[in-house]
Amino acid sequence: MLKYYSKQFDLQVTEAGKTVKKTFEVDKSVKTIYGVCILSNRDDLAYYRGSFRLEINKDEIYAEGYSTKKIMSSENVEPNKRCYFIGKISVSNGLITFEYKDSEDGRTVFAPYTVSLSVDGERENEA
Amino acid sequence: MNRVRILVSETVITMADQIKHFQIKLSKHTIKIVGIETDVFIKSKFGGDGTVLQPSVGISSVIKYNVAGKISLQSMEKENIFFSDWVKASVFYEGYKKPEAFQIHTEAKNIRGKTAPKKVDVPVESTIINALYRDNIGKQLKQDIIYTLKVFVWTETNEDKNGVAFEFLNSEKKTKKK
Repeated sequence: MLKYYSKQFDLQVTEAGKTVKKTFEVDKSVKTIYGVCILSNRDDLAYYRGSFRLEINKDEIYAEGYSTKKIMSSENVEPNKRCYFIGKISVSNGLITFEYKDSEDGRTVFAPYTVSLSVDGERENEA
Repeated sequence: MNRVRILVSETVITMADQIKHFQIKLSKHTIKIVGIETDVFIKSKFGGDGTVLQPSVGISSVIKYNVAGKISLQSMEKENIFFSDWVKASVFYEGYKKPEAFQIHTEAKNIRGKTAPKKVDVPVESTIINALYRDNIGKQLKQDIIYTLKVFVWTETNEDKNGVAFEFLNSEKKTKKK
């Protein structure tokens, strides 16, 4: 029987206007990923300045340049629906590549911040 | 449905009331356009040393005039335009930091809910679509605002689905029974 799986992967953005790329590996017991969303300790900076590219299992899910704000949900959204459903994607190699780009925005002043990619999925029940 | 992919098209707007024609290149695997989404990244500084806007014009004005412009898209295979909409410079809602956040949020659902592309259904054969954009925010503020306009084109391709199914393609609003 498959169980609910959820995990956050963090990226540190330390310089304005830079791209940060990291490949994360999920546990071998994880079989599918079906939801993603972006969180941050500086929601406003991620909202105004961020764009990203997401690859799961070497398959591009969100193309480079897609706005972070498009997959950020506020407290206004039902907690169980905050992640964006992307279908049940098999994670046979367990790799998630997340590339985040910070861009200048006239409405914000840069300060180092953390961006988290939150993923929802299913994992095998460990006996 | 086949695999859906996202194409990102970017163009820079530099002048008030600017009219810009541009083309969006589609992948050769595209068979249909299924959704359109837009976004704006404002480059002009607001306040501080890099002030571009007049002192009286601050972020509150951007909230007031958050409509960046109007975009129209035309397919080579379809007469007239298939998509026309106001492009909004979304504003981050900071009200949630206040103690009365929940109260505020019940009244401000449209400020930051969950976003979704606008659904369209446009079969395509050629690999380009025409776009026409007209600036509004610079015109309203009576000065040149520099910003990047992004157009996200969600396309259905002839690739296999491979488990990927985006939320907005399956969501149908439930009608309440009276």
